[in-house]
Amino acid sequence: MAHTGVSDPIADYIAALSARLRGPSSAKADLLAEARDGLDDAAEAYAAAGHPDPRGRAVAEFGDLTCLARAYQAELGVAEGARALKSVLVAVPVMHALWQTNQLVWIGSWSEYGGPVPEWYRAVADVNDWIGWVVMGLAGLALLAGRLLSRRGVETRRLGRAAGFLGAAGSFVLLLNLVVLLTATASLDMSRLLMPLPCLAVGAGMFIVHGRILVLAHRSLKFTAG
Amino acid sequence: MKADALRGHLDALLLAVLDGRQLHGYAIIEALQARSGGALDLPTGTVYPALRRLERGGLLVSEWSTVGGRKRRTYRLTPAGTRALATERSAWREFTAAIDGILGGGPWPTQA
Repeated sequence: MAHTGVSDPIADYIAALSARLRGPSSAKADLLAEARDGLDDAAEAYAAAGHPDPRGRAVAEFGDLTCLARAYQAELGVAEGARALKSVLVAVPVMHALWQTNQLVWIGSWSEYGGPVPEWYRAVADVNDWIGWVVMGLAGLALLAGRLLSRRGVETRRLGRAAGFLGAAGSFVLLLNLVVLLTATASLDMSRLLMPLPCLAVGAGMFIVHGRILVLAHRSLKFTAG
Repeated sequence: MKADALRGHLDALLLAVLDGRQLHGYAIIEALQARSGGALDLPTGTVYPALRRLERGGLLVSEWSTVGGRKRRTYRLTPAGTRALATERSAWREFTAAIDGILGGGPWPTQA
């Protein structure tokens, strides 16, 4: 039922709620659309029952804006944190596969690239390899733990902060891992950094992807702060 | 019944009203009020984040579907949600039986 007054309590409430929420736009639009649907349904029910101000009553029963905004914000924060962790799950194997494919095509064995390498460099390259898988495994475990903790009623805001923290820590470790490998390679032989263009592109892509995950995780922490 | 008293039971109540059916948010709220004879005094907006939390926990799944000519997000139980509801019901029966044994029995017999 359309509201005939100058301002519509439901539209005003949704606008005020929207103004207080920060988070991924699709998740935010989805939450707000559902809230608006619920308010419209309630207003229709009150109108059918002959209530003089059905839309105002629907808003009054929906709940205090500050309390609900906090609950909705926590949902958005956890959504962003889960997005960061899922990105780690996808990014690590995809970037690894891209790197391995390009390396095989353009370089051959990394440890033999540009000549034999000392033992310490081989160890750095090995650690660099498995750190990615460890971070990916931890991201998967964190998502699983988040699912179980949601069932146990753990506060959503705390879950969002935990997901954001783990996502930030994971992406920071992955970035640091890249920097360590680059530094080790440069200190071994600077000319080794002048790889074929496709390999350089994948290397740059790794920095961009892991940097993007760090931004997502940081946003999750921001969305669940306070 | 006030919201504070419900907080610890809201998840179980939501699972119960979705047992064997698929409902949208407001229909869930109406079902909660109808089943409680109107005794539940819960800010209706709090139900939506709770539904999202249960979905995140894998106890519910949701989808946008057309109900009554409008697009609405509807929820239904997953197999894990059905199992969780059975556990909640069993725990509730045990709890109420224990409390009823104490509160529902009238005054203690006086000692001679």
